[in-house]
Amino acid sequence: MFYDSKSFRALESGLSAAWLQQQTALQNLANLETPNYKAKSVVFEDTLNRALEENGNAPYSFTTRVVTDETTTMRPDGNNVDSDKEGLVLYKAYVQYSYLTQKINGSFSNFRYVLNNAMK
Amino acid sequence: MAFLSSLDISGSALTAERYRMDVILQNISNANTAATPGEDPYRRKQVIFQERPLTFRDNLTAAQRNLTKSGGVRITEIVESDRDFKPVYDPTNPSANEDGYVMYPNVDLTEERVDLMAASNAYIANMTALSVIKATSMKALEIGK
Repeated sequence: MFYDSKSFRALESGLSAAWLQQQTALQNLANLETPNYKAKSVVFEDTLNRALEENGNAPYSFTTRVVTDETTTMRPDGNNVDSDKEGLVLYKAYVQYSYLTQKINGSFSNFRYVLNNAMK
Repeated sequence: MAFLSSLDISGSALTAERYRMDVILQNISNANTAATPGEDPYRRKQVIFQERPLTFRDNLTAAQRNLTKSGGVRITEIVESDRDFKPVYDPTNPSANEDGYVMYPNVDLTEERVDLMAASNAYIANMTALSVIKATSMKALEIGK
């Protein structure tokens, strides 16, 4: 089926990842002034290992995990949020999200083309 | 829904920072509220911020603490400063104590001004983040168009 295709799943997990990245950046910015708050970030778990297991094929979906950076401190109150960095993460995720929605819309219009013209 | 919870994260920060600014302004406006006889002068107030957990694991551990919403920041309490009051020798003042001193609040205007700047910068940072998340949400609504 169309929606089960590998590329569709890849686009979908990309969207979820970008969304999660934005959520963590928002959370970090919201806690810019919270003492002892540690910044969170999103990691893409075991993508490379799984890709290698699958005989070197590129991975079509991946799992994400939120990790907390407990090791650093930016300020005397124990907070380690870098607002510039978080703003960039947010914006990068936005650009990625826009790109992926465009791609999804592209594959939708392919389906639409096939559906509209198959019977002609 | 996913994007509404994102808006809640920024929204909680905006509320918290605005409230913090309110408290700072309260401190500044009461910087000269001297002691009346038999009562303490105004005490400097400070807000305490706490993270509202974002991830599922955090939520699970915080479930007992009755935090229903996830993500963002919240103000847990307002504490009053224990720092010493500022005594000013002014024996003719009706508020003066038996030694001739008037006790003024433990508010430091420079400190308050710096805090106010920090709060307003954090507010602006969250406003900017909010505009990005709004744009992303609009992109999400365009899927399939």
